[in-house]
Amino acid sequence: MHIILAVTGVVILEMIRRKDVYVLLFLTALITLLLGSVNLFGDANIARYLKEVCLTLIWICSVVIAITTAARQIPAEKESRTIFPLLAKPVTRAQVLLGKFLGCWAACALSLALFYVFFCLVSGAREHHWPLVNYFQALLLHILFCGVVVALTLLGSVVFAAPSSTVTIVGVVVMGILLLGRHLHKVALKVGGLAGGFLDTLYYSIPNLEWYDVRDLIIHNWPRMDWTVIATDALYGAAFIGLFLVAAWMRFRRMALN
Amino acid sequence: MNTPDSLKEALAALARRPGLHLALLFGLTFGLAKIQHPRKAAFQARNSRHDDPLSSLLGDGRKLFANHFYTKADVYFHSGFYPTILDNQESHRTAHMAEDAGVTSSKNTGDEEQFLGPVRNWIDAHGRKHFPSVHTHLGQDSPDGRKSVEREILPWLRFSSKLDPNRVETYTVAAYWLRRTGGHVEAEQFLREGLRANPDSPEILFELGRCREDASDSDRARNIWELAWRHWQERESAKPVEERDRFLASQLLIHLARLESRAGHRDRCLHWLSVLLPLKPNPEEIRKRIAEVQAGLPLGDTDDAPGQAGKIP
Repeated sequence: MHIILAVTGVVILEMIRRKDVYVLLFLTALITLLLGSVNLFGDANIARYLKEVCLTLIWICSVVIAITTAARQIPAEKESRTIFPLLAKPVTRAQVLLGKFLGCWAACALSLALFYVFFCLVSGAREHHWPLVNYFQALLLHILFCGVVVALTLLGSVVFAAPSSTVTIVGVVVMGILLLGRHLHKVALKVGGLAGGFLDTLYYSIPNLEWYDVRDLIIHNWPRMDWTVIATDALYGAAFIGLFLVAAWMRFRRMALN
Repeated sequence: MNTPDSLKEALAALARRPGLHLALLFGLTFGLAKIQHPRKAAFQARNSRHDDPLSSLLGDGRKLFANHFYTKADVYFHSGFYPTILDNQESHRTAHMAEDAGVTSSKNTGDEEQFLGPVRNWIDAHGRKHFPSVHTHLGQDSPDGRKSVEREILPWLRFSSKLDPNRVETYTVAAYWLRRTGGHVEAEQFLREGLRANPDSPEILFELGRCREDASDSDRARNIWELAWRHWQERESAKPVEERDRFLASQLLIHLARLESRAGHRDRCLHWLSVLLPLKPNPEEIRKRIAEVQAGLPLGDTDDAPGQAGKIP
């Protein structure tokens, strides 16, 4: 376990040294505060549009951080040839993969925590209302979402030739699921026939990432979710993380590194 | 010393002083800005549309965004429970925020609670726990039930009006909800902004009259509504009878009649009611009101009188 944690620590340190997260956090803060400074009929307590903009930016940033961090892990080790001394030690490929996954996931979770602290401050300053448990639930689901995306990206990074293609393909898949996943079965019903059957199969096969996006509940101050729903989401997410990691490991253990 | 040599020396001297470089470049940019600024200001004054960066950037495509933001305001009015393009939208063809404000007649049909349809499978059932799936309206039965929460729709209406200043409904809907949340001055300012972009709009004039009525300024409310009625006649008289905007005409005339009734001008009240009579699909209620006014009673509020729609509670 300590080997996996050591690899994890290296990935987290790398993220801290890189400036991506700080730049994204700064941009999110800048855009949110600029929009917050707009005078809307002289009412300083209007908050929901600002919450929506801030959360949307956080979601975009999280997808960018998760995919770009995970996509370059194994290709970068291969390119700089550091993968050889790493594997020369008594470290298995499964441990490297798991360490990379945990590192990327933890890095996403840390950056998300920062983003959500900023969101809490903006929202609380406007609404004078602090539904912290709701925000914590949203953060938890968001971290689970990042876990699935990181696992999927690691699988992509051992399947596709270059990090750029991994980033593009996984990015399109993730955004596609977020935007259309919820509606696939409706389209399947309307289309019917073979295409409908294909869409229906797709609907049941893909990870329903849109479940983890509870922005509307947060923006419009709906009551907090039932914890059993979140537990089900966690179980579902864990199953997909496991699936993607096993697939990535199966590919990675047979992969030629030179 | 010949000229090329002196030029070389001058350049060499410049190269030795980078500070001088900066000063010269700053002087150059400052001078150019000073020359260009009046020309640009003159050009913008001639062509004011080019002054707006949104218009320059988006062209007529900005109307699409304006429409999106208007719908977004209605999504907020429902606290996020709203059909997407893949759902049944029959119950949301007219924005409910406009319907509740009484600024437009409703074209909605179907059950507004059921656009998601029956639960189809366990993924669908579980998925519905992650987004709002109960029909509510802000300020009536919204989830947090806080005071004046209706104002949350206003930013999107403001953005929509910036993108498409000719969309009249944006101004009238926003003005109603502004008045409802206590922003009477802001409502009037916003309507006047809309009136500058749409000078003959009877809809905006009607709402402006309501603002004046709220401010107990009956004389100006009367003048504005009479002007709105004239503009309505000018605009609608060219159209076939069945295509005329009777909803707005009914609203205008009932408000004028009620205003005159309150002022004790019975003849004027009867005049407006008689103008209203042929515009009503079911004129019995108006005939009853005319009889009451003729009998010396004040013009009362009725459930089917359009004057009640959009009234600030």
